[in-house]
Parts: sequence; C-alpha cells; structure tokens
Amino acid sequence: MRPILALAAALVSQAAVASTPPVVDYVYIEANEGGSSGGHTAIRFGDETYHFQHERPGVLRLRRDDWQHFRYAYGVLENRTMHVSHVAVSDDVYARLRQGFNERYLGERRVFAHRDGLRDDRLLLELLLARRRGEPGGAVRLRGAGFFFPDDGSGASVAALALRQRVQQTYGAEAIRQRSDDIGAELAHLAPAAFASPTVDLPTGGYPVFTYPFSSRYRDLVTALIALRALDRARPLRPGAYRSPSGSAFDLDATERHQLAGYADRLTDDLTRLFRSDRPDWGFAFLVGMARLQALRTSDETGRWVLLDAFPPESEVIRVSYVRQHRGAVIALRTEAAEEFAGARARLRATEDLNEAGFAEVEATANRLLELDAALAGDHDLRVSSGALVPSRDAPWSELVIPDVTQDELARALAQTRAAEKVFVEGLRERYGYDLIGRNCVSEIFRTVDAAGAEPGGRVDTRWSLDFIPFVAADAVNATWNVVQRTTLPSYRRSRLDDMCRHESPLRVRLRESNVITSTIHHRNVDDSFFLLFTDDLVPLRPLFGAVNVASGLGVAAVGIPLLPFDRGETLMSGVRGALFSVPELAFVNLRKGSFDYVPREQRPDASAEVAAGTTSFQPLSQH
Amino acid sequence: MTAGMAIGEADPMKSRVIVRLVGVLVAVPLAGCSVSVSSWSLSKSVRSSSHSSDSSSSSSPGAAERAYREDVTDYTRAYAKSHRGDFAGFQADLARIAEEHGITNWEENPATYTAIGEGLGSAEVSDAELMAYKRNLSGGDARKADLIQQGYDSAR
Repeated sequence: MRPILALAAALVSQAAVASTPPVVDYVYIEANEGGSSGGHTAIRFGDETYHFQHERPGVLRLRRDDWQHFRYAYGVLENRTMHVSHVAVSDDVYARLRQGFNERYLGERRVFAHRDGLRDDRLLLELLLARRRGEPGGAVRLRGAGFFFPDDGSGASVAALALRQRVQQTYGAEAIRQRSDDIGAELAHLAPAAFASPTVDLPTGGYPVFTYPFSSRYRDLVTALIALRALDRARPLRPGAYRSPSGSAFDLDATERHQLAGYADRLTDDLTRLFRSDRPDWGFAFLVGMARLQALRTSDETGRWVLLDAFPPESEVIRVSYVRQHRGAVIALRTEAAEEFAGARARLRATEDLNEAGFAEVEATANRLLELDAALAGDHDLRVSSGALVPSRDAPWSELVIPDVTQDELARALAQTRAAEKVFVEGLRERYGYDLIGRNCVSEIFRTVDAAGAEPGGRVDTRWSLDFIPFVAADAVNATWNVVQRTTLPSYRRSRLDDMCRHESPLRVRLRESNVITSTIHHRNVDDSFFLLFTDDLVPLRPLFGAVNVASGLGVAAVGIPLLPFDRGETLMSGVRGALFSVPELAFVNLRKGSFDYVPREQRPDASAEVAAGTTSFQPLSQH
Repeated sequence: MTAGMAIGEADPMKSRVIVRLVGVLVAVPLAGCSVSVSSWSLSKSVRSSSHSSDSSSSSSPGAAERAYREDVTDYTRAYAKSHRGDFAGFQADLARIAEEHGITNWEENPATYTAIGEGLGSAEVSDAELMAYKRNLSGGDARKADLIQQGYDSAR
C-alpha cells in the first residue's frame, strides 16, 4: 500500500510542477569592504549563476559559477547577505534568457581569446622575422610539448612503443614519417599573406566571428610535428611531468586496476584514430593522450596511482608565505581535497565505461590534493586554478620551421598584426571597460535581458535612474518583474548568530559575538582591514560602534607608521582602510562584515537545497 | 538559513533606502562588483568554479556531462546563426569549450555530436548546412553522423 501511495504522491507532485512556470532568480548581494563596497548582483538559472565582475585591468567580465560555489564565495567567505527575488517566467522566456546569458558568456570568452591570439600572432611573427634576418635565439612555448621534451636521451617508453606499433600496423610502417613530411611541407609554405587580415572590429551582435589566424595554424602544425616526433621516438614522460605519490592512500584496488587497464586500451584506440584526425589542433590532444597512456600503463604495472601534472602553465599562484599565514585553512582544504579525491575514485570504480571526463576528474582531484600537500610541506608556492585542470605542460621550442616567404612579407604581416592588436585592445577597453554608472554588474544584467528579447515582466532601465546601484536595482526588479517570492539568505556570521541565539541566552551571544576579540564565529582574517566591532546586525548602535572602529583604525594606523620599515606598511594600511570603511557606519550604513578564509563544509549553507528551491516553480502571488 | 518573505509584507530595506543611498554613494566610488576576499583564492585549490565542469561540485549526478552538452549546443546554435562554412574555426572554438570541461579529445565523446546536432536544430539550419556539418565533423564515421542527426531531430 505504501509504495502505491508514494507513487501517487510523486505523480501528483510532478503534475503540479509541470503546470507551474519555471523560476529565474535575481540575486542582490549586500556590500562588503574593498572591491565590493557597492554591492553585487547576479542572475541564476537553476544551478547556473551569471554575474558581471570588475577585474583587472578595469574590465567588466561576465562570469559563470555553479550556485553552490557562488553561495560559498559571496555568502560564506565574503560573509554577505543575499536577497533573492524569485521571478516566474514562461518556459520560452526561461530558455531565451538562459541562452542569452550563456551565448554572451561564450562569445565574450571568444573575444578575449582573440585578443590573446593577436598577441601570439605578433610574438610569433617577431620571432620568425628575427630568424629570417639571421638572428638566432628565441623560442615559442608550446602546450603539451613539456611532457616529452626537451629530449634528455632517456630510453624509450614501452607504452609509447606499443602505441607506435599500433599506429604503424593500422596505417603502414611509413605512416608517421609521411605525416611528418606533409606537415613539414605545409609549414614551409605557410604564408601570412594567405590568411585573412586579422579582425580588428569587435562584433556588434551574435557569436563573434574571427579568422583562424596564421599563428594558430603555425602552432597547431608545429605541435602536431612534436607529437609525431614523440611517437616516432617513443619518448618517455619527463621527470617532473607526472606525479607518483607515495603512501598507501595512492594504492590501486583491483577494480581500479581493471578500470584503468580497460581505459588504457580504449585510449590506444582513440589515439590511433586521432593520428588521422582532420581537426586542426589534433597534435595537442595527441600529446596529452599519449602522456596519459604512459601514466595509466605505469599505474597498472606498479599498482599505484601515477598521474600527469595537470596544472596549466598559467595557473594562479599563492605564495608560500600566504599559505603559512593561513595554515589552518590550508590543512582543512587538504582534508576536503582528500574527500574529493576519494569521491572521484568511487565514481571511477562504479562507472561502466570509463571515459576521458571520468578519468580527468580523478586526475584533477589528485592533483589538487598533492599540490596542497606540497604547499603544506613548504616545498613550493601553491598553484590553484578556478577552471578545469587539463594537463598541458608546455616547453620552449626553438626548432622553428621558417616559412618560405621574404623578409619584407614577414615585416608587412608583423606591422599589420601590431596595428590590429593595438586597435582591438583599445576597442576591447572601450567595450568592456568598467564604469561605475554606465557599465557595471547591474547595467549589464539588464542589457543582457533586453538583448535576449524576453522580458521577465516590465523593463528595468538603468540609464536614467538610480537603478545602476545594486540595492536600488533590486527594488526595481521587485516592483517591475514578475516576482512571486522573495528570500533572504543571511550572511554566514548572521546565520550562525541566529542559530546560537536559539540555543543560548541571546544577550550573552550578542555581547560575546559583537567584537572580533571574544567572537567564537569570526576569527580575525588577516585579509580584512582592522576593526573591533561588528555593525552589520546592530542598526541603532551602529554610529557608536562605528566611532569606536574609526578611532581604533586610526590608532592602528598610527602604530603602523613606526612599523613601516618592518612590515612594508601592512599595519598602516590595515588601520587606514579600517578607519575609512568605518566612516559610513557613522551614518548608519554598514559595508564591512568581516570575512573568512575557510569555513568547514558541515557549517556551510545547504546550497544544494537552495538549488532545488531555485528550480522549483512558484505560483504567482500577485502582479505588480 | 533561509528566511522567506511574501509579497506585500513591509520591507525594512525600503524604509532605510534614503539613508543607505547617501552612505553608499559616499562609499561606492571606492569600487564595486568585484570579489574582495583574497583568501577566496585558496578555495580554488579544492574545486573548479567553472560551470559544473567538475562533477564533484555539481548538484546532481551527470551534471558535468549535461553542462558540457549545453555549452556545445549553445555554442553551435550561436555559431551557426552568425557564421557559415569555416569548419576549422568551428573546431578550434569547440576544442576551447571542451577543454573548459576537461575534455581534450572531443571527437571521441558521443555527447559532442548529439549536442552539435541539437544546436544546429535550434538554429534551424537548412538540410544542406546540416549535411555539411555532418560531412565535415563525422570524418566518415556513420555513428557520429547519426548522433548529429539525432540531436538535430530532437531539437526541431
């Protein structure tokens, strides 16, 4: 009887959801000190959150984060309260809005990649011109080459020999040489003039269209030649290109060994097909695949995880001195990383057909774990990456094929590329430059909504009003869009305070938690400016507390002056910033909330439940 | 952690709006719209912030593959609407998007072809254009061409 009732309830529930419209969330995030003193806004579609972020060098970039990550960054670490307006829309409006934001996101990334492509074009042409003039030296850095080169003369890899044999069996004994000759011939005749002029104008609408430039073709061809050389010489992985961690935590169990062996076999098939691929950049994928194949075969042989170094060359780096300052947080993050690695291994063991994505997850989580271990051991700076980890170790390559073109032709191409890069970068600055009023995190959300041609209610215009200010815009959304419910997600500290007040004397909690000295929730984060009293939860006392904060900030600044030669002005700046961000408190305005360097997983808000709420449909309560 | 507020209830935010406006206008020129916590970088040591590209950070099983498929679909639709015929450019951008999801050999991932087909379907490309994409991307592999067709049909 019970299963029948459960089934009936599920069917009724599904029918109810199906009959109600989907929901888009407009999120206003309260201010904090520093670069977020004006507040922030975002728009959320299920677990996707889009927001425009002000970044160096003064540009506003569209970012996309999963909701859990966004919530943790802004609501927990930055300790900022979020106000969520749930907006009911039709299926069509929902789809058009989501597509509008995602297409803008993808297109914008393409635009910035074109800027990088123009820079690469210029650098390559400068190098080729120098070589044509007879000037030696110089090299291009090529992704993927660093797994096997420079060649240190070490013996052949058994796994690479087997792959080479497989390729030769499939395509013929001369296949590698033939393909190398073909690519070499194309490189020799590659002429910049044969490529369309670099695109200098920023596209005005639709997905940006840029030409496949000379430098990309050149790099792709040279990378393919390197892949063929690595295969032909059966090059083994270079020391440092892979990780072979010690300790029983990295032992493979029988299921894992079976999975890895099966995946290695499939990867051999994949690489054999990739050898003949038409995709222009097949060389890079081949180098990564061949490197992974060797790591997989070694793992199988030794019964232990052997993994490529997956951090990209351009990874963000956190200095070891900063790691030392935040050692407690790093230790906790290490525990989390170990759990992520264990989870990825469990999924790998459970999967039926391990593919690249499944293997890459284990590879990435292991890399993050080992990187934290090394940083904690004080070995080196901590590399971090907010994107997916794709093994792409690079190496300088000086063995360049100089295309059979005249010096004048190379010089002309270089001049053209320099001019194009200059114009494009200027245009980029103009188009994507941050502007406090005209182009900020609020204005661009409404522009993107307008461009999608799907209004979630009335139109919000930030041009002739104060709607460019995040909290004013939130009011405008509530008044204009089809908001069916509003939710407040308290900052981490306020949430903990509320929780404590339910279990202890509220007065005692308020007194204890009102300052950074006796607070049990907040422990001073060295990234914050100096302050003594929290003012975000006590409105009537805010000016009084603010005066104490201003005075203490100035006092610390005064102490910082004689400390200048010893702490490079850190104390002075902390005091000055502390006093500055306390001034608004005198007028009942709170900006600073204090921030956290780490919060344990069990104390974080249940963002997955919030995601579920975000995807749940609401019936409209009223029209505005 | 969550406090709900129905429409029509008194909004404490509104009553303080003038005072806050003055304060914020004083403070806002300092900066806006950026992340201010330096230690936020530390958390990147554990997880990827990209769009569910790390399945461990996603809210449901299969989210990583769904995210990849959605990006390829959205990209293909946008590309097909704006541009025609440059398959080298299409593949170069596709490779960039796949890498953001941790995939280097996108040719061996069946989801790639289904998603391309879905993108072409929602861009409402002609039969001739569909054939051109199938011919240029399948490399003569009937299975890949079928997946593109299936995706195309599902989006029409």
